[in-house]
Amino acid sequence: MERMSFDTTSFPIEMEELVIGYRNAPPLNSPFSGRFEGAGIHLVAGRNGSGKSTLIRTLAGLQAPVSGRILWGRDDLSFVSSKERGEGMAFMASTPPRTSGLRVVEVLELMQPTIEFRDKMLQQVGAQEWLDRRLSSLSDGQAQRVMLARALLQNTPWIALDEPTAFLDAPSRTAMWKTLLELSESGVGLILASHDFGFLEGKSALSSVHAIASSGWLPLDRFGQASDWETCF
Amino acid sequence: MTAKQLCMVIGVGVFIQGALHLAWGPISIEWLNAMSSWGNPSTTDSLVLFHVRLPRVFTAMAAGSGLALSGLLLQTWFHNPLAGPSVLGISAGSSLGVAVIILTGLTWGWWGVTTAAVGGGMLTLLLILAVSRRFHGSATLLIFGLMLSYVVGALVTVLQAEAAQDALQQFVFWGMGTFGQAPLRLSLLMLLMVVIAGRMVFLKSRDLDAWTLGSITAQSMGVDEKKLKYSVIGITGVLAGSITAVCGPVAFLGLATPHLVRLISDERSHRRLIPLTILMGAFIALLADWGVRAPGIDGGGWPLNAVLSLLGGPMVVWVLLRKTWNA
Repeated sequence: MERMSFDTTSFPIEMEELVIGYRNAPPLNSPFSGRFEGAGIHLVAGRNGSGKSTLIRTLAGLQAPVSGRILWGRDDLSFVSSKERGEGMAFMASTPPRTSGLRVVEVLELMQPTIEFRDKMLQQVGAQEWLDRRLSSLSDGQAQRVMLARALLQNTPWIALDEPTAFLDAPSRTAMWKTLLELSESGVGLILASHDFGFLEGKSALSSVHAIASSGWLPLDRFGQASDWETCF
Repeated sequence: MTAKQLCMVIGVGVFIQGALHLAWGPISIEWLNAMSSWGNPSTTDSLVLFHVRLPRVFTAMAAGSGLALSGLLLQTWFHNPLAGPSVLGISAGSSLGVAVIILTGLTWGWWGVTTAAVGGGMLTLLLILAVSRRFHGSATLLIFGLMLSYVVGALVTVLQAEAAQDALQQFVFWGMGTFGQAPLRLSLLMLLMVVIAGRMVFLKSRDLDAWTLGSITAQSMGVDEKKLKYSVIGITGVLAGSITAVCGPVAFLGLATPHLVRLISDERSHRRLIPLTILMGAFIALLADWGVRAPGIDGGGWPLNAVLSLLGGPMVVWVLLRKTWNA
């Protein structure tokens, strides 16, 4: 049944000797190990092409690693079924879908939420006005909010976000970050790849900061300054 | 108008057209006389009704619905509004299967031809799926389908050049496309197949809706990509393949019908699109068959594919233009 609050402590995510990349292309990095644990925002930084988005998709089980493995709690992710994957981690892409003709209400109903839960999440992302609009008629910023609400309705302990603000204008970006910070207080774990992390500097919601590079996985000081993080990769 | 009301309206349209098709023809029949001698081919009336007109109506309905449903499935799966069984080369693959059976003189009957057509269609679809991952942009996929059609068409021509005279004639007639070839039992079987396929696709409505949000997002929602992919291959392969075997390569119905539905209705969830598309497919097929039957009072008649291309070609151009305007 539906939980109204999140419980992220249910499983940590572990990367063991992980190499990510694509078939027929050189791997993106040397093997590395690392761990995500607990609620809040886990920031993954890195240069263009360093594999941030690839890592996010690999962690969410949407792409197979080149080698090594990922553990969701005690389960090897490569043996997790499609259904269980959908229950463990939601995912939000950097661009909202542009070709879907569905209405906002139809997108959200795919998650089969109760009306109260749906409206609560809509309010959280500030999208309650657009229920009857077509997703394709919304601006990128508005559509991303709807896609965030959809991810929230999946009611998973983890949400993976691939550069959620990449294609948004300045006001939409600020609004998205505020929403994400509020969300991180509710107990959900957000694994977030982004270039645009200035807003997170000094925020207590930040649980960990790492950079991914071809040499591997670099832990950064989460109390540090964004400009210092950038000099590390 | 709600989707339910629209379904009713199209359904009534299908029923009325079906009844008119049964009633109208170069030979006028006594309905009571025909009905009372049900299944007895000795009277002209029942012969015309049960062995000519009824199978034709059923075949048109099944072919229209089945191809339209395949078109909808392919458009959703490939995120491409211009996908369809004939555009992607699936019908061409089925034709090759049929050509191999007919032109090499194998006389395997309906079942052999159908199996070969389904096999050819599925193989083509598998080939398209294998390479489609490497394609970016919707045009590449369509051009690939077109090239595939050319290559398969060339193979068919080679087979034709080598074929015996009567086999060649049989194949050419088949290639023109018609709803008027299937016997009653086969047409009923096709209707049953479409109903079953429609039910199966309907049960996948949620997955298909999720798929419109992008394949990655859909998978993150728990959609099993492999399962959905094999359903799409299996269902479109069997539908398009067997319809091609019975009716010949039928143009445009699969591609254009889902767009016609989107034109008259603003429903986009598959729960509503699927029944609307199935009914609309039957409606359009029966409508096109007037063009084939009505001018043919003196035995002439326009080829089915000519009628469908006259209807379908402008429709595709319209979709292209509208797509450009929106972008």
